Formats: sequence, structure tokens, C-alpha cells
Amino acid sequence: MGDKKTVDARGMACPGPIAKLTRAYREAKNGDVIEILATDQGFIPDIKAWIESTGNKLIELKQDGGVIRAVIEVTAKK
Amino acid sequence: MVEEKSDSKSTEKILALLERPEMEEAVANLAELLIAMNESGLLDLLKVLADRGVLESLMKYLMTPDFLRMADKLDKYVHVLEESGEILITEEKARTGIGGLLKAMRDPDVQVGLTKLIKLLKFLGTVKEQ
Amino acid sequence: MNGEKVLVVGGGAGGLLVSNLLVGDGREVTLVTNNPEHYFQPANLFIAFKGESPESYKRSVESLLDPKVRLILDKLSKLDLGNRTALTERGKRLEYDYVIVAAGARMDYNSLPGMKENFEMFGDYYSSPEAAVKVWNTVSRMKNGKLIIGVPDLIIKCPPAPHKGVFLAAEFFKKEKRDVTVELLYPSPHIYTEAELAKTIESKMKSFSNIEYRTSFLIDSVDKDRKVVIGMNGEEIKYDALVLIPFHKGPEIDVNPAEARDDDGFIKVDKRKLNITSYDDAFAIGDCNNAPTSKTGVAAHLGAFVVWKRINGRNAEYSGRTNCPLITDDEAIFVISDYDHKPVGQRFSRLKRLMEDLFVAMYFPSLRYPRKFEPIFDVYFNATEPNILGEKGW
Repeated sequence: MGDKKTVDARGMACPGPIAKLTRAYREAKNGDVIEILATDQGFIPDIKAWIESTGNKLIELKQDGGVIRAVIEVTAKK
Repeated sequence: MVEEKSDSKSTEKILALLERPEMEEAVANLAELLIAMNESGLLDLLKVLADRGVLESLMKYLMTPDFLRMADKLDKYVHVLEESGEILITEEKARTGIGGLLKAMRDPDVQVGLTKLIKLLKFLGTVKEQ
Repeated sequence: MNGEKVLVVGGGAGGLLVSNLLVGDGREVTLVTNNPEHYFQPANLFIAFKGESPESYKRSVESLLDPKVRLILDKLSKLDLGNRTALTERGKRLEYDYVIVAAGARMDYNSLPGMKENFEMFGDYYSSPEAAVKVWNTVSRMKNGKLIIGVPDLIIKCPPAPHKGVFLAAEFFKKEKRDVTVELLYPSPHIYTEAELAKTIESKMKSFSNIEYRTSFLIDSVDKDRKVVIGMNGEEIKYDALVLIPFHKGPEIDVNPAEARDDDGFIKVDKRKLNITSYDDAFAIGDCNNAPTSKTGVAAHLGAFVVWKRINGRNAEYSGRTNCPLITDDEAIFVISDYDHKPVGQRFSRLKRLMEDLFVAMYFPSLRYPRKFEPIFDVYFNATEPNILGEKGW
């Protein structure tokens, strides 16, 4: 089991939560889990598209009281 | 430590410029221009523009979302106005009656044009004089 | 004014503006910067892809400061927020009543294997005008092949600048009729971080036959011997020339307490009041703070006015407003957003490019005489607030 890291991107519009995820993903290794918190509604389609194109695993995607919570497992690193 | 303030660099630059041979003619020209601008009142106008809130008032007049959007598309409007203006000022030989009108209605471009006209009429109907 | 001593760190747009504003109130302002020159950073693009001279975009910090501001050309090495003191590298000790850190972001070339060597070889248009000249030296000599502009990380100054570089380079090669393809490697799933704006930018890119792009491409490293960019998934892309956007980190100042900075060294602030977390006499503006908005000159500019007003007891707040121009040779859009609004819809237009040119012309005087320019900028910012432009966009 890898490490778990939380990225808080709440209240961030531009450049957006994907910017924070990119930074966390660079430091992660396969098996790690990254949890991202965001309030930007555009993040839901964005994270789905990101997962699809990068081939990582989406474990959870939920919205609760305006806060979107995505949990991904890093699987696509070389 | 505090760096000493000095204008030596800019003074040097000015002196070097003054030594250039083109300078004499340029300065004479500038002086003539200044006299002319002063006599015509242009200098006073510039002073007003630079000193008082004229620029601010102008900005306030121009910087509205509607104006910005319109200015943004001005090149497109000019194209539409130019093309339709040409049709308006050219003598038209052809005549269109009811039959021709019905036939023209089958043209997809005319159909789109008509839709636009109806949209325009609908909008014009909502405009109230203030 | 009651001996109110203000210390400003940094000679960029934010530092100059806040110094000139506060000294105008009669305060005793000291500005510390280790760079005697101020340059207009967006011009690095014109140097890199149009071969313009760096000299026209540089001014001495001194010439942009009110003469009443005390200028210290030295590097600030330590800042003690609790004791209200600071220390410069050459050992000068400074005391203050208010401190404003406007030290900018530090460029980091060590977070990606091969980046430092690549920077030494090709330069970039982020670090300095000199590094931009290096890009021009490569671009102007390229006859064919592929120029890649790679974006490993998105927390960067002027988020649309990678795209600007792509457009300006592609236009140069097109005009010169050279067989060079320009490719953008971008980490987010769309070609811009915001999906709607990405569509506008994407269709503009498609109108160029010599622009290619890849999204969701996460750069892992660079192999300069084989001339390939390697993705985190192992994919390799070949280049003939490569410009990488460097990583951005917080400034190299030893701040006490250390908790005042985040993991990347950015100074933690209240995102609207811009005071350094839990201090009311210390502020951080512009690229050096951790406010969740773009790193851009507009944030530094607006931040300077917010801090000036707050120090004078007024209740000003920073809305997170951005206004980043994305230019091609003759058109532009502006990325206009704030904390509460995603970027508003835009169309590329010549008017916006003209407005950007006008801004460039006003840049230096607007730093030196901020009070004169404030009403003019205010009118623009108010008319183009994201909630005012709204759905219709611009």
C-alpha cells in the first residue's frame, strides 16, 4: 500500500484544481492515493477526462455541500 | 547601504543626444511646432487632457461592457454594413412579385435572413425610449 | 507620519507600486531589492519570438521610484515577523512597522531531470530577458524540424504564456516559410485549464497548419542526448529544440516563523486581505504569495492597491481578479476570472490586441505615478468584472 496525500484546491478557479493535482502527481509513485478537494464545478468533467487520458484509477468522486471530493489511485506511472 | 541617487546616467544620455548632428534641425523643428501648437490652442487642450480628469471621463464613457463588446466586433459590423450598403445604393433592375417572393422563400439564405429580420423586429419592439 | 516605517521587499511591479503609493502618504518607505533593473516581463515573449531588443523593456528601479523612497540594493535574507526586523545578505539590519513582501516567484530547474541542462542550452522566456535572447538565437536559426514548448507544471506566471509562445513562434515560422512545427505539451485534459476557454484557444490553434498539441501530457524528464521528452507514462516525443516552462517556488527568504510559508515556499496569506497569516502588520502580494489565483502582474498591481488602502485603515479586499492576455501576432483574448468566477467567455479580436499594446505603452509611467493611473485602471477593471461581463462574455 502506498502513501496518501490530500490536495486542497477549494476556492481556486484559475488555474484550477488540476494545477494542484499535477504537482502532487509528480511526487507520487504507483500505488499512492491522492485525495483532491475542490469547489470548482468544472473539476468533475475535468477529473474524469484526466483519468481517462492518463490511465490512472478513480476510486471515488463525490459532491457534498458544494465540496467535490475525488480520490485517485496512481497506477499509470512508468 | 543606501545607493546614492544621481541623475548622472540620464544626464550623460541627454548630452550624447545633444551632440548628434541631426539635433540642430530637430530642435528648430520642435520649437516651430511648439509655437504653432501654442498659437492654435492645441497645447492648452493637451494640458487639459493630461491634467484634469478628461481622460477618466472619456474612459468612463467608453468602458462599458456593451461598448467593449461592440468595439470588439466593429470590424465585422463594418463588413456587414459595407455589403448591405452596396445593395442599398445600387439601382436594382429586377422586380419581385408575389410569385417571385414565394420562389425566393425556398432559398435557405433568404430563410435565414428572414429569421434574422424577425429577431431584429422582436428586439426593436422591446426598446423603450428613456 | 508618526514614524511609520514601511519595508518593501522586491523591485517588481507590486513592490514599486506599493512603495510609491505609501511614500505619497508621507510614510518612511525602504525598498530592498538585489536587482537594480526592472523589466516588463511579458516582453520576454517579444524578445524570444520576434527578436526585439531587451533594452526597450528595461528601466532602472531607481527611475521608477519616487525619490523619497530609500532604495537598498541588497538581497533580503531574513525576515522575523514576530520582532518586526529583517536582515540583508550584506548584514544590514532593518526595523519596520509594516512589511510588504513582493519578492516574486523563484524559478526552479531542479525538479525535473534534464531541465537544468535544457535551460542552459535553449533558455526560456520566463527567467530573464537574457534567457529569452537565448530562445531567439535558437528560433531564428531553425530551418526545419520541431520546436516543443513543454509545460511540466501549471502553477506558473501568466498561465496563457505557454500558448502565447506557441502562437508567436508558429507565426514567425509561417512568415519565414520555414518547415518547423511547434508543439505544445500540456498537462491538463484540455489545452487550457478552463474547458470553455480551451475550446476557443484550440480552434485558433487548429487554424495554424504548423501547430500541434498534446493534452494530459505529464513531463517526467528530458534526455538531451537522444533529444526526447519523456512522459510519466513512459511515452517519448522527439524534439529539435525544447523550451520548458520552469517550476515556480516561493522566494529565497528565511522567514521566521517557518509556518508563514507553504511546502513550496510561497508565503501564506489571507487570500482577500493579503496579510501574512496571523500578522496584521505584514503582507505578501503578487507571485510570492499562496493566494489561489494566477501568478500574474495584475494580482501584484491590484494587491498593491489593496495593501495601500488597508494600511490606511480602508476596508479593501482582493477579489482574485486576473486579466491575463493571450496574444497572437494581431489578436488577443483576456483570461478574466476571480475567486468566485471561472474565466468569462472570450473571442479573439484585434481590439483586445490593441488594448494590450496600449497597456504596454502605459506600463512604466503607471508604476511611477500610480495615483494618476488608478482611476483609469479602475474604470477598466470595473467594466470587465467577471460578474458584469457574465454569460455574454466579451
